[in-house]
Amino acid sequence: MKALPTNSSTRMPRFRYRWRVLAAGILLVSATACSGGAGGGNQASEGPAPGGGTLRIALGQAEADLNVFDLKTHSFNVLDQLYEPLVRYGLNGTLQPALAQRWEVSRDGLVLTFHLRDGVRFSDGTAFTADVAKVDMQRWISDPDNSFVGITRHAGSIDTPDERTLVLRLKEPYYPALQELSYVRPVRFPSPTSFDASGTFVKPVGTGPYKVESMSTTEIVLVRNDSYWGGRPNLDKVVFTVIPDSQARLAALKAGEVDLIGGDYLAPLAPEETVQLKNQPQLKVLSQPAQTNLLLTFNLVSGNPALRDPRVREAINYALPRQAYATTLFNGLARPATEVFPPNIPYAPKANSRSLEFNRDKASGLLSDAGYAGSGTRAKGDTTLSFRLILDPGLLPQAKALSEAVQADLAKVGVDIQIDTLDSTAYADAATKRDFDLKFYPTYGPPYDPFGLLNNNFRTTEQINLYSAPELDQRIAVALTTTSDSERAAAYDQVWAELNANWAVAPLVELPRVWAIRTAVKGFVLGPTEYDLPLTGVGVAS
Amino acid sequence: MAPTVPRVRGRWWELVTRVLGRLVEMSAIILVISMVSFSLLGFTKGDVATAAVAAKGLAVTSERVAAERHRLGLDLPAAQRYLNTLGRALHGDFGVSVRTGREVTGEVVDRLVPTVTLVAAGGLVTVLVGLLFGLVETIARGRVVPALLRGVCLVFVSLPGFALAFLLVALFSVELGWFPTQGMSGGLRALVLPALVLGLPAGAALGRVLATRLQELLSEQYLVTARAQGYPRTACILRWALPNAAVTSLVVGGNLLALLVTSTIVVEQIFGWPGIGSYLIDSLRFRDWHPLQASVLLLAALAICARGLSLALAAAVDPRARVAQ
Repeated sequence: MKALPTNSSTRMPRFRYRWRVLAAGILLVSATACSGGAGGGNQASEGPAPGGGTLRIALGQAEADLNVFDLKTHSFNVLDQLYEPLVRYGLNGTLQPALAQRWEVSRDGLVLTFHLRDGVRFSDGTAFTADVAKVDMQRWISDPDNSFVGITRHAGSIDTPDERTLVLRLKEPYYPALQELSYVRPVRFPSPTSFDASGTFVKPVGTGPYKVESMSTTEIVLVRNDSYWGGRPNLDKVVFTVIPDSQARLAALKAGEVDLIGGDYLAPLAPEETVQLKNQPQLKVLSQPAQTNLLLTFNLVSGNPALRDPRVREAINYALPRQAYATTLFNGLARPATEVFPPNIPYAPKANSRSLEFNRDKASGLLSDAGYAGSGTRAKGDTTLSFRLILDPGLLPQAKALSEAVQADLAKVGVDIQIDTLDSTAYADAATKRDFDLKFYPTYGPPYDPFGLLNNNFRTTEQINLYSAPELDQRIAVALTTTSDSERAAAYDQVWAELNANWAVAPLVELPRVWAIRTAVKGFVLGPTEYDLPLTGVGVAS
Repeated sequence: MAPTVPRVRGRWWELVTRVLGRLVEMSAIILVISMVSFSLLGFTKGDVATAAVAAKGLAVTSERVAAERHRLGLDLPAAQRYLNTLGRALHGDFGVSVRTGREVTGEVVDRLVPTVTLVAAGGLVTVLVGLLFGLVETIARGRVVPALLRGVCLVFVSLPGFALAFLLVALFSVELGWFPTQGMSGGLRALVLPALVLGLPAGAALGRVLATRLQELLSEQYLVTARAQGYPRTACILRWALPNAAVTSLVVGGNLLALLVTSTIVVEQIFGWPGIGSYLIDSLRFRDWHPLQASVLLLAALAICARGLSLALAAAVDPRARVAQ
């Protein structure tokens, strides 16, 4: 019988050899894949001097087109690079010249005369004249969909006595008109070549420091406008990269793929996310005092009838520990709010003019006085103090945590809160149909405030107002139409007094402005509003 | 009497009928999916007409919502709406996106290539990882290495996609800078991390299936005999067991590939990959019905094709599998 072959004689060395080849191949492939990538995270030290360079900015949402008259556009900071207004909103509400070099308002407040800057051209060479400005204004001023811009309700006629003068006549005095003309949309000026013969938007062309080179669903690339009237902008290119996920934005910033994130309308950065950026010397967190307040608002029309008793609203105000919310939920970057607006809004209520102390006993006492008793959830007859709070977690990163904190704190005074978490569309639906008792509401921020918020949310004529009363309507009307500054200030003070006396809303916190930037970027300062993004003086060191 | 060799025409005919049968089956599945998704979308909270008005940036008033309802044809009965949609779809018209104002067909075509690329790369990762895990677990002697690998497989299968993505990005993009953190613009390097996040869990699952199947095959008569004759264990596994395990792997792989297609929805969101998955999420957020329907149908079609392709491969590799289907 033939001997059985032993292992050694039938061992096939090429199998082991195959393993080694395979292993070597994998190493080779991964080495070539990684060889070019090593420089990704540390690019701060090379490149041209701070005159020039490319600034890369994250963008939270893709944009369909950059039509300044289209209300769908939400990339305000991008539009700010392309299109300019007549006047700009400066620090604390002082208006600065932009396309209008100077302006006058007639004594009766009905005639606004703008003297346009000389020698301004659109990025395609077309001249910016009073006639061009008039055509642009006429595109938005009579559209009822633009009613959030109060000028549309008061506009009379637009005249152009000469090439450099634009005259806007109003039907009644409306002081916010100038401030509204500093908005990003729809009041800015695109070139006539942006529209075709039938009035359809074809391409974004403006007078701004940058112009569009290319645009896709994932990025918008802007290049320097060499004929910009305000002097040669420093940066060669500005690239906006769409990164919808906030963690991905943070990772991109840390890895050096973008230079700037933050802002309410650009690529929001949450206060608690700034902790992740702490020990990174190449990154800097920029935070500035609040321009918006977060309010807890009540459905006084179709909500729980208990809310119509001002004592209940007052009790809710005393039952909330605002300081604790500001410190713990916003990483110390927020401050407690006691008024509808933060103090740096024009005509805002003075800070600390009333104390909304945190006092559970006072709150409980008020509720008992109002007749709501009981050891668990208080009730009076058929009405229980059980409220439905609708919540859109996308509103703020800490929305959910805040709602749970409010729920816990109100439970301690006998008020039961049911939190209904909805996605943004369902939330908008519920808010419009007034299918809620409580909801959070952030104020708009400059340049819309204070009149924008009052116009849209505190007048009886608005379908989904937060609070309204005939006396309040009158006071708001006086504040907006009087031509005397002192009378206006007094009228606003009366509006605040009225809102506070009636406990119209429960202010919670002043929301901070949070941005983060790579230190390789020089000369960047936050704009006066979250809608602006001044980049003309910025340079990138790498 | 020996069986006659089937005539050439008969074999071709069998292939043609088989392919046609598959196509009919796939079309029926897609039709059912379209009906189900159409009715499911009707159950979501959040009114489409209100969302459409809000998406235009206009203040929501009851007149506007009513007008939008009528414009979108929402006041028609559901069955009629479905048939209208179906009729237009058969002509290639998938409607207009309320969110962007552009035609859905064009938008979806733009996004097809990124998704297919991602699925292909993810599939490659699945195959490689599956082979690696399955083979190493089977070939390794002793108990430590296989147990370790089983543990690693379990981790990869259980870890949610976003957690895996976070870990990989934190290590390979932020710390080491080897790959971009998101987006498609880095060339092949940008494809690596999304493909890994997509393919690793499926690869781990495939690895386990392969290891189990290889163990089964090793105890079959012919391989026991070969081992007894002295053939090395590794050789047995690679030369004989592995090809025979191919069929099972392909069938399982096909199902996993179909799952990969649907997993692209999450992976594309995480990595900002401009494919159909992220299009679907964006449309859902805005209750943009037409893009949503088109995306769902397209992904379903891709998943079905992927599965059908691997079943066809399995049939090609092993004639016995044709009967087993």
